[in-house]
Amino acid sequence: MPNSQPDTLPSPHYGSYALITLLMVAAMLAWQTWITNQNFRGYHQQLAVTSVTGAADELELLITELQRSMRLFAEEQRALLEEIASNADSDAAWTLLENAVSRHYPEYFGLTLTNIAGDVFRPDFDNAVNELCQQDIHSFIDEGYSHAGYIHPNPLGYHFDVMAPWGDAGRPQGVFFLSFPPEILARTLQRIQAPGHALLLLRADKAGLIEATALGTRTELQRGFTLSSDEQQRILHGRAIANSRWDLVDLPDAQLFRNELARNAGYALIVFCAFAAVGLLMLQQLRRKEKRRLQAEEQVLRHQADLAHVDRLNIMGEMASGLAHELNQPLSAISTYCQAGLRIIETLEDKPDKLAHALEHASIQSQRAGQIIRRMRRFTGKGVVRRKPIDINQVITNALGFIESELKRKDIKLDLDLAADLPAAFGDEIQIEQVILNLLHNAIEAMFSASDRPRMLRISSKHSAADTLQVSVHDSGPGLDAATVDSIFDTFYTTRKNGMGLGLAISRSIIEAHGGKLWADTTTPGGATFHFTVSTAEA
Amino acid sequence: MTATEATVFLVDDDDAVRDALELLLDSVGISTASYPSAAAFLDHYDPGRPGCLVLDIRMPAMSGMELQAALAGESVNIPIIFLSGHGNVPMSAKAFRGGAVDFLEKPFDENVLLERIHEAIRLDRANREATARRTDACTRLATLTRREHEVMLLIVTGHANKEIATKLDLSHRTIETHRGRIMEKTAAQSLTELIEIALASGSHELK
Ligand SMILES: Nc1ncnc2c1ncn2[C@@H]1O[C@H](COP(=O)(O)OP(=O)(O)O)[C@@H](O)[C@H]1O
Ligand SMILES: [Mg+2]
Repeated sequence: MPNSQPDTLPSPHYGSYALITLLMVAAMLAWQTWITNQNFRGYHQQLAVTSVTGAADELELLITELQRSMRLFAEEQRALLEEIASNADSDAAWTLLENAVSRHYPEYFGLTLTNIAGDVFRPDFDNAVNELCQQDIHSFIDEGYSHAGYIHPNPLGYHFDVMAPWGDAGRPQGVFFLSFPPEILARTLQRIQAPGHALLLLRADKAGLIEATALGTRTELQRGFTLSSDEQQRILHGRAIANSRWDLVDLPDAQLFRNELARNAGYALIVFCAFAAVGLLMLQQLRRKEKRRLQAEEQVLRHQADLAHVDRLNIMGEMASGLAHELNQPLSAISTYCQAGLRIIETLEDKPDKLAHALEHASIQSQRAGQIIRRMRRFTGKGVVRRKPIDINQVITNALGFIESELKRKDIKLDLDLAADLPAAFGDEIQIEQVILNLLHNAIEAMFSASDRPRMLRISSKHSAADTLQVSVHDSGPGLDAATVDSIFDTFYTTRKNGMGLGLAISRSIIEAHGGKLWADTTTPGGATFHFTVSTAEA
Repeated sequence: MTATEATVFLVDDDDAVRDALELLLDSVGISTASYPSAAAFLDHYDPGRPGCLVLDIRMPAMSGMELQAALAGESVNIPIIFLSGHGNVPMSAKAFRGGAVDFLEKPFDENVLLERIHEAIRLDRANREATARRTDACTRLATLTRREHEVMLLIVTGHANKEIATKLDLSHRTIETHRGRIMEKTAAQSLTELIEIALASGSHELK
């Protein structure tokens, strides 16, 4: 009887494992993205500091140098300036001055000369010296001849002024000042600013007012003149420029960090999706495998149930059959004795009628008992054998599946000798498997009782005759006694403490119902061998 | 040919069944010989004794079916009635294929059994008579010379003396002489009887 269970594992929670793994991957990717982003930010912050410092130094130098060189220029040209001061209408003197200025300051934009009261000798351009310039001139004179430059408009364009006093070193006679185009400043910004960044020149005294960028003055920009609060916040670094009213700041592109973040997040997302996809695929694969395993398990269980059912039926059938055989013999004898008695009475002169009646009825009753047994047998009978093509080697392998663990546990060596390419036998697969299992169990039982010799179980199959397959089971147990070998197939014959004595009887019934033979071979030395045959003829 | 009384051979491993059957058959005046196993039967059996075999199908060592096969192997042609403690269809079919007369399930109806036994005995007698006739015919024909045998074959296949003479290139008289000798040696009273003898001998030239 099959008793080994297939090992059942608790079904693992693949789904939860996958989820945990994915969450870990997600956390790792988020962290990685954050770090990358921080690094990027740090790098650009550094870049901003460097370019602001570089550009501010350069602009400072430019302004300071202009102021210094213009003082020297005014000193040099003092005679000419004094001539202009005394005769403001002398075109020749103006031309001389303009030429000299052009030579020294080729980029200059406008030239203005005032007396110490700040009155312009001659406006360089019509109405070019406006109110702002006037204010600047006066503050320059009032504040000890220093001027913090800035960009401001006149009707011809935006410019910035650089001023110098002229006349005696201790006693200046007026102001000499030149206006420059802001492109000079823009060029520096253009050259130094880093890609993705803009260097902006802002008015330090007017919150967020843009003076110039690499593209030009504020009027040349396609935007408002002041920085939005958003832009103010985005500023990475800023520095005041000495001798001017300017602050230089570095404003990164609005998209710079956002793009970087998007790109990194994109990468992370792609990696995550790849992980998730692979994980899902693996999960699905595992699920499928698990399902197949469960199905196989179920099939094994069903097969076991079939075997157990058939086993019960066989035991019932064999018990009924054994009982019938045992009872039919005495019943038959009783009936025959009665009939003999009746016939003897026939020959007597003085017939004892009552005795004849008794004998006749005893005979009828024993026939009736026989009928009852026959009916009972028909009820529990195995009926007609189902005949289907079966692979006998597969049946042997299936049966071995049930006792594999037992063989290992009891240290029994298995020697399989199955002939290849056997034709299909015809019969009931479950019943034949039952026979093999009975023989295997007997063999194991026999070897277990003899503990002294090595345990060896040999199973072979072969094509023994034209349409006959033969299966043999040999064990290295104590073997069969010549005196009892005739009895072992009898119903209820057993030498085992817990034996029922049905295994071999059932097996023989099954094999004979299949038109084959089951017999014990007493000639093989060193144990017992049982053989049975099955037919390959479909009938 | 000695007309020995028919014997029913009983082979059953069950003592009570055997004893009861002996008693029953004895009560109807049939003589019996009973054996507890197939081997015991084979040891004592003389195929010359007429009768029939009542055989239990399931016995230890050699089963009834195996005994049937063994007898067939020795060309012993005794009618067999099988008794079975629990018969089944394939088993009885196999028994009948082996030439069994009947197959009865225990407990059986004794009237049926007796009827079958009588039938079997009659069958055995008929078989034995046929065999005896055949051996008798053979011995008679064996005394013929080769030429006489040749002539006999032509006679029984319906040839007239004249035809035979022409065929064998012999004189009409010689054929007449052969014919007389043949009738004498075979003790045949008529041509019909001679044909019967020739047929009984199973002479293959006739087929
Ligand atoms: N391989 C074997 N080696 C020795 N004895 C055997 C073997 N197989 C069967 N037998 C003997 O035949 C008896 C009947 O076997 P079986 O009909 O299977 O009934 P059970 O196994 O219940 O005893 C066993 O008790 C045992 O004495
Ligand atoms: Mg057993």
